[in-house]
Amino acid sequence: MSTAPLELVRAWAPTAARLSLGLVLLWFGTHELFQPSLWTGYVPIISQTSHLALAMVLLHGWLLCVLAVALIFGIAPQLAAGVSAMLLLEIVVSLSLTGGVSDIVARDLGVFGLAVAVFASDRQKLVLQG
Amino acid sequence: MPPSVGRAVSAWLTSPEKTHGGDKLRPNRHVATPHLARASHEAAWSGRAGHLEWTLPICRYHLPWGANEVPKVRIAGEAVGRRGAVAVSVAAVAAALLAVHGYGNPGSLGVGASGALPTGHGSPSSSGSGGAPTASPSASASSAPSPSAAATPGPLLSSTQYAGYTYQLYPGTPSVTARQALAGFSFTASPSNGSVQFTLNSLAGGPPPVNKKAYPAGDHIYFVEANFGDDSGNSEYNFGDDGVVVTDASGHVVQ
Repeated sequence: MSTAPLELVRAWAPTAARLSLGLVLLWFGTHELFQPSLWTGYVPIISQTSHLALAMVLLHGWLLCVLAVALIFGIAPQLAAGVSAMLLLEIVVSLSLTGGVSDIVARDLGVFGLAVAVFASDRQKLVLQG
Repeated sequence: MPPSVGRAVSAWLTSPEKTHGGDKLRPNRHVATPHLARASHEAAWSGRAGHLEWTLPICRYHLPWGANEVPKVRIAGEAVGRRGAVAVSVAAVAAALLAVHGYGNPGSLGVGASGALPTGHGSPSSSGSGGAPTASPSASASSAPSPSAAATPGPLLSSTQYAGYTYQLYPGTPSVTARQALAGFSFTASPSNGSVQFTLNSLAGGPPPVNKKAYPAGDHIYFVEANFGDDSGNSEYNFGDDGVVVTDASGHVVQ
């Protein structure tokens, strides 16, 4: 059996993972910037109706957008993925502590694993040159 | 030069290039010794080709004087070229502008006011985006129940943007989907004397009683949930896209 398809997958999997992670972060980041009031419920400890919670969501959205662009264009992807992994780990821990292990926690745990995989990868294609 | 330092220089100068990170950053061969690149937190002259290089624990700045070279920054071992820096900077500025706008208008982008639900009297606040309606339960709170019979009927619920996001609570028994949509809320509907006393409460973490009102017994009461993705079990992480819509028996929105 030819191993060409498997080799193709191996060659492109890190890039696909990086782009997927970048698109996920871009979606959430832009949504948090467009509709921050819909996300303040996720801010731990702080009242979701406070201005501080709103500012925290906007800061989070800004960071997600910057990381998304870095990942999509392959700009320091390991650093971007590492920071993303830390952000997602914080989300997983925070949601686990406040609401217990839930479907949302499981979903974010998967994205956290994706970020770790991108962080560990050093064979990226489709990166911005120069 | 001691042999150990020589071996370190040789290994460093022949280290493989990264395959990502924008431009491939070659080790700066103009640095006299690895001490300057690895340990120094101060600027160091290479001396021969007019390069200035200094290092921080995670960053190394390489600023060439020659016109044929582009500035490079190494961050945590990864090279960032000019285009990469520009792309990230543009993204950061654009996101910052959106954040400033978002702070002043935390829910106004997207469909915005044009998506508001017209009713006979009052309406759930609407500031959705991307086609999904949002409704604030607190907007319809009322401590003084008042029947809605005298209200001028609004449009048919089926003709509004809420149509695909409403789940009937009264009359009848809520469906399984309606109960899922209610995550984070509980309600009571008590018919008496031709009217129904409806109360919607949020569970822990939500706003105080969000809806307590009397409606004609013939009205239909719906719960609005624009996005199930923010519900988990019986927890509601986003109260901004939930609300209540009431129609008369013919399906026209009255609240």
